[in-house]
Amino acid sequence: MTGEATEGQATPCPIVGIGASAGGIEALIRLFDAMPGDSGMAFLIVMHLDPTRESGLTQLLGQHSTMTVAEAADGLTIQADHIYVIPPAASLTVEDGQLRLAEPAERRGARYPIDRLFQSMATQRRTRAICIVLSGSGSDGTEGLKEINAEGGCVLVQDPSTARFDSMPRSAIEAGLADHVLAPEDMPDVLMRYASHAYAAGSELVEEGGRSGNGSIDPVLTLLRNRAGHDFRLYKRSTLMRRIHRRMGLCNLHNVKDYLGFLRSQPGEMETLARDLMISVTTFFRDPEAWATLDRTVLASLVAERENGAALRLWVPGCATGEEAYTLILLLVHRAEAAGKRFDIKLFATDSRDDNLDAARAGVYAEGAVNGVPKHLLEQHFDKLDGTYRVKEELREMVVFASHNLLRDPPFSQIDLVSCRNLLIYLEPVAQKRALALMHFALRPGGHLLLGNAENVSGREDLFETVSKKWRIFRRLGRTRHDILDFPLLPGRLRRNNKVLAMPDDDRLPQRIVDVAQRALIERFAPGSVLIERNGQVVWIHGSIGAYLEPPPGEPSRDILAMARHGLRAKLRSGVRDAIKEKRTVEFRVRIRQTHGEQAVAVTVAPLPDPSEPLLLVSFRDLDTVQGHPAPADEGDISLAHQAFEDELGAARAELRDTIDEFERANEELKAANEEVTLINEELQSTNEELETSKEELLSSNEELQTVNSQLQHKNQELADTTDTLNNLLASSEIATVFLDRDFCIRWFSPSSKELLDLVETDIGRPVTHFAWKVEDGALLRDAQAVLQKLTGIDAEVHSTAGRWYLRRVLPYRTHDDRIAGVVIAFIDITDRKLAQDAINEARLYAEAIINTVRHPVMVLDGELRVQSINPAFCDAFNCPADESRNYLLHELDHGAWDIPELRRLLHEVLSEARSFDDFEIEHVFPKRGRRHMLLNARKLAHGGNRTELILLAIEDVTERHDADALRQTLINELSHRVKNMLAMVLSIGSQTLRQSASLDEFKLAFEGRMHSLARVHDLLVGENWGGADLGELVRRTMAPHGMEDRITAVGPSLTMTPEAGVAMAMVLNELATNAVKYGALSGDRGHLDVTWAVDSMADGPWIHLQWIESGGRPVTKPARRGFGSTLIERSITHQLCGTAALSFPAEGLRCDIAFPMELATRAQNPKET
Amino acid sequence: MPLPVKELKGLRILVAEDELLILLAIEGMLHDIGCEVVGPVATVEAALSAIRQTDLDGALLDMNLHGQRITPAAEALVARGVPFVLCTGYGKEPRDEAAIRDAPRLTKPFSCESLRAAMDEAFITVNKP
Repeated sequence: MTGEATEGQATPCPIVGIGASAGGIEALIRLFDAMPGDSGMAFLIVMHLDPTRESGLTQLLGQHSTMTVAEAADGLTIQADHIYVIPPAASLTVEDGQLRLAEPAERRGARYPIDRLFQSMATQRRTRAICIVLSGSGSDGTEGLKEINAEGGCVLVQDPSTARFDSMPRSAIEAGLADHVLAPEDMPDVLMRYASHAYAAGSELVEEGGRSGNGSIDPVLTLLRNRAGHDFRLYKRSTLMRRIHRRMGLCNLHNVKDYLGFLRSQPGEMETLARDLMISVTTFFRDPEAWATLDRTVLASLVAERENGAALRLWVPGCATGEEAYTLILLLVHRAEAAGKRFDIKLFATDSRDDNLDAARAGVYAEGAVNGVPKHLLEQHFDKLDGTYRVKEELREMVVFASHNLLRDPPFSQIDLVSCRNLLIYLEPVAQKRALALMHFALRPGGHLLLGNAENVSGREDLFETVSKKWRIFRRLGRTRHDILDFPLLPGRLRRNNKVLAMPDDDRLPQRIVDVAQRALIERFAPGSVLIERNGQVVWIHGSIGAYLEPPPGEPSRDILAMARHGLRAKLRSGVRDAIKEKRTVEFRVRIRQTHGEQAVAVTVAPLPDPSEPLLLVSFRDLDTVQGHPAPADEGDISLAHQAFEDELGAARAELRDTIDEFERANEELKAANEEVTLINEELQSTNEELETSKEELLSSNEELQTVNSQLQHKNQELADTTDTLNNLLASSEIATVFLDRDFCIRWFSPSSKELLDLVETDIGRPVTHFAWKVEDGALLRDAQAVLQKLTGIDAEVHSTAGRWYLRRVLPYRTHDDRIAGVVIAFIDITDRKLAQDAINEARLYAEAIINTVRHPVMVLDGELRVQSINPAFCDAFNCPADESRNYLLHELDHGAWDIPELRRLLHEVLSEARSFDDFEIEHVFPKRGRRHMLLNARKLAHGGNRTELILLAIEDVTERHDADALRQTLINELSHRVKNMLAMVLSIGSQTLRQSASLDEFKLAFEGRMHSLARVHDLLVGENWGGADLGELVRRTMAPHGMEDRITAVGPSLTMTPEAGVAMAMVLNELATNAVKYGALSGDRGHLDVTWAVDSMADGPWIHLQWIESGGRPVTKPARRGFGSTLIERSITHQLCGTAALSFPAEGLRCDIAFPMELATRAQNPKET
Repeated sequence: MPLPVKELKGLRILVAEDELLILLAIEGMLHDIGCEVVGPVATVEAALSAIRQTDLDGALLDMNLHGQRITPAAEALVARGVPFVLCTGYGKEPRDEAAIRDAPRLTKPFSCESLRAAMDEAFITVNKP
């Protein structure tokens, strides 16, 4: 039962052959878009490709499938999940799991590469072959599919309504080869399911033991006949085998026994199988030319012949889903309308499948199905529903759909036209003959029969004459023949459970009893008769007529007159003539000369009543002997009769001669004409062959062109998409772009370039030099030249007359083959950028100028506290060159001079918390500059994004101010101290002076003198900026109020005394001077005062010795009481200056010796420490 | 530890003042108060010497003697537990040393009464109100 392993099984993966042509690329894309990449199948794709062009198919499919797509090569081993594409000008087949590529054997134009592939797959893969036919024109593939089908492979065909070019799929479908008709995107699912099926693994059905053996399909057929009432015994055996095998495969059953069991257990399967066995394939206007021919010849004359309102009867047996029937009625109705007639049309459309009939009655068809219907008929007779078309009711009413089995049920009768297309092909020859006989019976005389393209009236040529050989149109011949009808002999539906009549093995069929009886009676009692046509041709002979007619010598003839025996001819001719003319039965008597004498015969010529076929029945009856043998005495009569015969004979001979002459002439002419016609025919034949060849070549070229066109369309679409993308890109970029060729003529420009150049579309091709640019760009052409030479881009910034800035970029224009075809000039508007840049530059210059101008040192640090820049003030202030400080860490700057932890901490705070600090005061000892007081301000410079963080650190050196503040405070303190000291001294002077004074006048004089002395030394100290008092100056100022410079000598070195020592000395000198003016040498007119001082070296350092020596005045006596003056003098020196003072009073004048250590009195004093 | 002091009279007071006229006034006031003047001294060395060599009940110190701060003398007095009053025209300053900073002060010029009050405050250790 299961077949032997075939060579194809060397490759475990299922191989799918795909044939496609025009419109196939789209279908392939749809198919592979839906096909998983890991299906485990291999795909071989054959298309009609232009042999002279490279195919872009491989690349195209690669974009739509994850499988490996490769161009087929000879000897390549077929692998799963691969797609192999036929190269141009090749023939692709499979052999032992490998690809075979060959030069196409046929000439171009007659190649059927898809057939080749399918055929090789049928041979190699057998049941495992899976083939797909996709969009394409022509019928390539169908022949191959037939072999696939014969081998039991699986055939998928693209739904013609989804195909751009549906003739290839349609061809396959109409040939009844499609197992599935699907849209390409639905195919993968079916493929996957089928490939996983056991049937696809490759086995074939064999009827073991022949038709009567175990594996015979007869039990299946019997079951179908008994249970479902379908009799397939007269169907072609091979068809039945194949179909049953297919069902078994699809049900995953491997032997007929199992399948029988399955059939019994699954009621649905019976119907399915019956449906599969009854092929129901039909379309509207299938073979349009056949219909056109039918319309032109049969229908036109039918409509012309019949009168208005007459009945027309038509029959479409095996109507399937009604397309054929509707096609016929459409044509007929259209004809009738054109002729302005209305007929009572009855079209019987019959089929044995009720589901088909239901569909046919509904009259609803998919859009793809009505493609064949001419547009005007479609619009007139169909209602367009949602995606479907429905035949209008008036038309549907004319069609009677009835359940009827052509081979089983009685036929219709008086039918004008039977259309029975592609039904006979499924029947065994015996059944074909019977069907033809049935149809002959059904047709009225002269009625027509339309058969399918592959069908003929073979075996029944006597029943039909040919109207159109090519389109299989026949006309019924002869009268109605009941004898050849045997329709009731097949078991009918009603008798299906009755005892089945034995099926005879041969063609001999029993007759009905009545028939037998009738025939016997006729043979026994009816006179010998001949049925003739009006022209005397014998159409039927009944009984024995040898006594009246005999075949004439020479060519056999059916002419009754030629056959008439001697004596009959003349009377018979006139009898026939009279019968026809007068439409009545003519009787006459003749004497017929026979071998054994004469016989009187009564002849009756009776016209038959059938108006359509005027026939005459000529009957002969022998008269009895008495009548037949007149008395011999009647001699006169005999000689008279003899004379009459002789005359008649002479006339007949003459007539015969003339006729023969005429016949020979005509024969000659016919021979000549025949030769001519034969010649013409041969010429026409060869012309026809040439035309056929040309047509095939044209078709093939057309195929290739369609394929190329399809590829071009795809490319075109891609180009259009790319163009859209580029256009949108250019429009969105608003970059003025101009393409120039090598001569600087404009090739293309973007819309936005019109802003810079007054261009319109027609300017393309004109030299760009003819246009005035609206940008000031003198270097443009020079740069363009340079670009052409050096092949590198050149950028420049240019300014437009409208005041905008552009980045003008010139680039070489490279074509896809890396040729330089000119230059591209692009103007990118950078006005905003430029302005912003200018603003930035300005701001930067502004900021730099500020930084460089300020007298405060400023530094910029980065996030790691590395010095980025310092300003000149910083360089000056910290003696730190700018170039040596860059990138130093702050604490390493200037040999660690800036290593100030507190500052670092603060700066890190600035960085991390993004805050600033102001007036942070630090005091730091710099190795080069000593202790400095500084106020620091820091800011984090805000930066967007990931740019480095920067800190601006401004330093204000406030050391001077700080020192000045301290000094001022000290001075204020000092001033306060001095003022208070002074007040204390004034108080003390006042109280001491008061204690010594006898009167207020005396007090006033002494007090004022001492005050003035204080004031003078104070003046002196202020004059010296409190730095000290010169001893000589002290002496001079003390003496000055008293005048008498000529009597005073003051000699000594310049000695600067401390303010305190100065004040003390001034007080001392004031006391001495007051005393001298009041009582001493200067009180009189002549006295003299010498004040001398000198610095002497003593054991403990230098001492100042001052001598006050009065002379020449009034005599001096030591005062009785020690006054405040002398206390002041002595204690000032001793206590305050730590020296000695000695007053002596010699008679010539007072003398005072003062000595004090120089160090204490002249010590350089720090004002702060004062 | 010095003996408790009940009154100013008879106290031995070191006077350190370089300005003679002021010294004269202080001496007069101390005389009126009944104190015995020790010194007087006009330099820091002399003051230190007097502090080392003399038994003192108290001291009146000028802040500045010939340009030298009195601090060493004040510290010496603190070390010996001798109370003192600073007689100065200076106000308090941040740079004042510890011995100076908290010492009672008498701002020049001052009267005998204010001197007495300052001395009472500084030198009298018992029967204080």
